[in-house]
Amino acid sequence: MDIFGFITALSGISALIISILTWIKSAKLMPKEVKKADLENEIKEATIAEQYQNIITKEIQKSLSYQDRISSLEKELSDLRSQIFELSKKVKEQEDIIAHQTEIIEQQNARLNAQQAQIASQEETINTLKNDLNISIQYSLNLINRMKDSGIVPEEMPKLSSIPEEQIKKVSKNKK
Amino acid sequence: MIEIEIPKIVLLIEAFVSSLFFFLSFITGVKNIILIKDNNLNTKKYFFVVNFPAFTGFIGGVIFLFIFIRDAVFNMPILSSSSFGTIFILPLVLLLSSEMAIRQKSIEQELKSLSDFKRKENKEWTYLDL
Repeated sequence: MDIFGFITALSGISALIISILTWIKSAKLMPKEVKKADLENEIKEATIAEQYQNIITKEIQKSLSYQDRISSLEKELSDLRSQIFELSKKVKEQEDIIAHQTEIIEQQNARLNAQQAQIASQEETINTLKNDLNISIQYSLNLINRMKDSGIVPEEMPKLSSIPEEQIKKVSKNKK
Repeated sequence: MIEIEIPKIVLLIEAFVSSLFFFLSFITGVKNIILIKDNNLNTKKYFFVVNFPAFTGFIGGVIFLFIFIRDAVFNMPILSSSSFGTIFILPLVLLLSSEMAIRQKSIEQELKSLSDFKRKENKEWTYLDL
């Protein structure tokens, strides 16, 4: 074997050894790289999942706060409704009382009217009786005067408790 | 006699191993192309990284298989055992073919992991721009 043959064999064998060793080394490393890639992918998946979970948690918190607000608003609304119901009940009671009092006032007005009519008729009767009494007083005075003229002294006219003395004098003066 | 045959045997082994590495690159390149198309990985860089080595691997594999068969079976050597090509070019080609096959294999693993992730996510590839 000449020197060129030796160099050819040496370079060939070294190239073969290097290439096969490189292949074996990369074949050994490959699963690790795959595992590393898988791990990176899993980390990325976990990150994405965590982000989704954070978003979902935030959304749930938001919806819970909205639900709390809605429930408090519903409670306030129900309170307002109960207050309105109580007020309407009171208004109805007041209306009933006002209607009852209006009825009573109407009845009292009717009674007043009836009493006024009665008073008017009684006043008329009183006036008639007053006239009759005046006439009878006048007649009695005339009769007393005539008896005095005839010399017959009558008894003194008794004092009437219901007719004052001034009225009798007044009636007698009017006659004169 | 054996001493004379050693460079020739080394050349034959080199040609055979180079042919193997080239065909391995070709097969892996074709698998990678299919992986990219099937999973719709939507990357343009792989067109040059995968298609060209697949084509080169096929051509190189055919050439070195032809050299090996012609020398081993028909005893009609193309390369002389003491030429510049056999001393420098052939070992370099062997190393390059080995490197190309390894590169194609690592790309295949990477694509498989990407397609796995994409299958798990059940949607378009979004955050890895390859």
